[in-house]
Amino acid sequence: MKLFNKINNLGQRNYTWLIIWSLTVLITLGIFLAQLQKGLPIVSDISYLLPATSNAVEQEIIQRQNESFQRRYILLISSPEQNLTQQVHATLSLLAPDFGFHSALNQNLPQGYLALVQQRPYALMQDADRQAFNAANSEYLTQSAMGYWLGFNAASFLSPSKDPLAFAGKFFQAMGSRLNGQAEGLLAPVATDQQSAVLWQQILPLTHTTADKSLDAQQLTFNALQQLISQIQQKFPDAQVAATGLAVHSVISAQQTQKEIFIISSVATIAIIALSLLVYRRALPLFAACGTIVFGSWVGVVGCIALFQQIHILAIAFGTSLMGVVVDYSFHYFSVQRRLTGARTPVNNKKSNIIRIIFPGISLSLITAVAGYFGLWQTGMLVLQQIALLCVLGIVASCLTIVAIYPLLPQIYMPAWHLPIERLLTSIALSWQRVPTWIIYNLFAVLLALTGYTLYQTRINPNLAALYTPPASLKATEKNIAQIYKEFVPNQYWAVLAADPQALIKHLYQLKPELQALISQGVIQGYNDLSQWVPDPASMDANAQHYNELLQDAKIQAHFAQFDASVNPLPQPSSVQLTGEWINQLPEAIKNNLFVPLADGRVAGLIRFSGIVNPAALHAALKSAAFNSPQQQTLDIDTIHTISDGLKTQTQRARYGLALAFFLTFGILMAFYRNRTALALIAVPLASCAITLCLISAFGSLSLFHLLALFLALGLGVDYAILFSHSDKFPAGVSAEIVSLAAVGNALSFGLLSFTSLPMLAAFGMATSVCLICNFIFAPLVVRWVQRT
Amino acid sequence: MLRTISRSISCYCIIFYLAVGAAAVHAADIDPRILAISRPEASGTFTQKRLFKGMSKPLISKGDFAYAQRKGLLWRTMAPIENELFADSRGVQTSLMGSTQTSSGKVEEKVTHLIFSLLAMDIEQLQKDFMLDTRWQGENWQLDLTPKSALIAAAIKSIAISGTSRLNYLQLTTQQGDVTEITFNGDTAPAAMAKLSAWLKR
Repeated sequence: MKLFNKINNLGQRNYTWLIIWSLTVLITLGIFLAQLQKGLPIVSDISYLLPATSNAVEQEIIQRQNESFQRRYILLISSPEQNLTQQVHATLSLLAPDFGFHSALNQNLPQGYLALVQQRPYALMQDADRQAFNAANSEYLTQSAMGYWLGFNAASFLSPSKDPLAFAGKFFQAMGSRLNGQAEGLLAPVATDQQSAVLWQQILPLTHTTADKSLDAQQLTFNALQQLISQIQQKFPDAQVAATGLAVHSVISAQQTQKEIFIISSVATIAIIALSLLVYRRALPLFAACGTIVFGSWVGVVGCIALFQQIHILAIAFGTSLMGVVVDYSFHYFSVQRRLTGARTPVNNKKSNIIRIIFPGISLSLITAVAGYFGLWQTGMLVLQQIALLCVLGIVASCLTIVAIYPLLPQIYMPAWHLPIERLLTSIALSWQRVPTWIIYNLFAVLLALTGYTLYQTRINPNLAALYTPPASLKATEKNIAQIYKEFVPNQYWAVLAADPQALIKHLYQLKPELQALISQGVIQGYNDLSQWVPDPASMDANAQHYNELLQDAKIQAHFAQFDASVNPLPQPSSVQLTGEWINQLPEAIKNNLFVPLADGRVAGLIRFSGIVNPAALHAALKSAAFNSPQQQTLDIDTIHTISDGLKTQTQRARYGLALAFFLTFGILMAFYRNRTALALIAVPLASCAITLCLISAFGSLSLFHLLALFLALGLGVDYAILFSHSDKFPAGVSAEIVSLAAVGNALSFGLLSFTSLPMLAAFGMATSVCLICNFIFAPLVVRWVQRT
Repeated sequence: MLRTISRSISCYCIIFYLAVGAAAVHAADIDPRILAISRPEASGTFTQKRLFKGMSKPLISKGDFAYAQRKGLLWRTMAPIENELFADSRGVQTSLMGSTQTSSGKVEEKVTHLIFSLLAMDIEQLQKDFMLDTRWQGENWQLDLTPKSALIAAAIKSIAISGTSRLNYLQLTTQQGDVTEITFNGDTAPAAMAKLSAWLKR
């Protein structure tokens, strides 16, 4: 305590706090203005919440795929009439470019790609044709080609003179459905039963031209999409257009968060304003508290952006909530001031006295809060680290504001008014006095055992639903789309790594029999990879020679004769086409889906699956030597699993972080107090967290966001406990007043938060509320303990 | 000239359903005499001549066909190769040299859907994709179909069907200049109808 007083005296005498505060403002302002010029990099991507996987290549592939998906939107057009749906589809396609969108349908293969096929019609074949070609089965090849040219395939892009055996024609006929996404709903409306009424529905995939993935850019794109849809709705009032996509989820979740946070924070703010006015009867404490927390949040956000180059919207939401503890410090100041106002002390002395009185408590709370958030920082998770840094910077800046600025505020007379809840708190304190010591010891022993058991036994909820639940309307739209738009599974795929494109294609061709075996075994229904679009360079030369030999076959010559006698064998190619050229000529959508050039110069070929029937067998298959050997590395990428796994890891690390935070806080308390007092101080949040953990485990499963709440509970619990432990140094009634005011204010804010539709915020709010109630009940116990010691 | 695969698919659809189902065309604003041509089920033989642009000889094929409204279709080539194509609401199945291939692609399903719409005299469906123009010369009629949508127009330049008391002739010209002519011989093909019935009962 002497150390605190020395520091404070130094600050008061030399205006050091004011100078430090002014420098903080200037530095933060400078950094903020620079950030503002570049645009505040606030992101809302859910994948950002995930820990970086231990495999950097996997992380890079996931990130690249996410970037590609982020620009994609899928529109679902519905109307009671087929004709109307078609009209809306056509109009949307026509208007989309005016709003910065273009069709994501792979309707056309680029001319460069077709030119490559034209030069080598033998390059890509269907399996049956490949087998007949390798076996030189001219009978089958002739019949099959005739079947193709006589069938309803008139518009093959090669004529019989260029592709007499129709290899390319048949290949593209088979691949056509993949070009068009395998969905009839893309080509024309389909009839679907919707609650006993038939709707004609059609899908229009769109891609936006912007590469900017910030929340602002996504918001702008989403607005453009809304305008496009609104224009269509005005023109066709009987039709409905709904949209989905990663960006839609990002924007809607951000909007939902903002809307709910706005409502909750408005109600909570009004309640806290009323509460503050009731207690202090003046606006100054309220403005000062609000100003302090806004200033602290601003410093925290700017600091985070400066260190991390960007900040996630959830880090702002949780960070500013967690640093709400500083409101207690503000009220601490004004409660003490109210008690001193009117006393016969010179004004300047009074101001110095207030800071001197509250300084040790604030400092200790600050130190323990920093220690607590260090526990959050060491988890190594980016968002958690952002939350921790925002909190620490915010709380430090807020405390600095209190000690530097508050003494400059006019000292006003505040009539005393006591909250009814203060009486409750006093009753609780008195009740604790009556409880025999052995009961308290046993109670805490049981709570400690329960905490240990709960942390050991509790189930961690890695479910994605714990992160985010989309609105019902968006879920319904996606369900409809999924029924008619069966794309390859976007979240689970394999990545084959190779030194260059040529080696990659060679690997992919080597894996074909293994993948075919997986289809035969019923593990998957199908797959798509680059080998389906790019020929094997190793067999190209051999194919060319064999093809020209086959063209001399009598049966095939007779087949030519039916068209034209002048068909000549193709010229021998001068060299094998570079595989990279084939890949470059692919449509962007196919290329982005199946090929990822890596930062280290290597390349990854993605194998995408359709209809994963047996995920466990698929995971197991990857471990076979065919896919993973010293020469061949294949990664199993499952983003849903990665997210779940990431959440689980984050939760586990946050659990250890919480334990570390408790130890650090206890260590600090031990350094300032005697053992028993330190034990009593840490016992308050420990008991609260134990009870909360037990309740959560009893009624559900533990999630990361429950644990985040416990960090806040630790800070608040220690804060309340310190306030009570210092109660003999404060004017009478201050501790009860501050704890009551803070507890009611926080319980209102976090209690309301538990009603939000966002699962993570609801979990956070619920756990915080329970902890707060427990802290409120256990904090007065400290008085008795301090008195005894 | 290089063409895209999507054009191929569109053309595939259009030729397919028009070749079989053109006889069923009807509409409120179309001459009722043409509407009267439609039948719930029919069979016959055909001769198809396909001339690819740049080739000096047409590819000629002969065969028979049968359809049953809203049930199924058989399109069978007898010469120069033997090839069968069955279609119903479940998809399309082709047989060549004893081997059978079932198309599970959505395009084929779409084709089937269009065929059945046509065979069901769903003139509204046809009018969505084409502008229809009827001409008469004595007992002979001709219906010219011009694509409305850009997607179909990218593949098909024009379609003309003609006949007297039934559909006799179909000509389809692609944007690339390939011409397909199908002459319906005016007879029936009981064997084709029996095979279709058997297939439908499978």
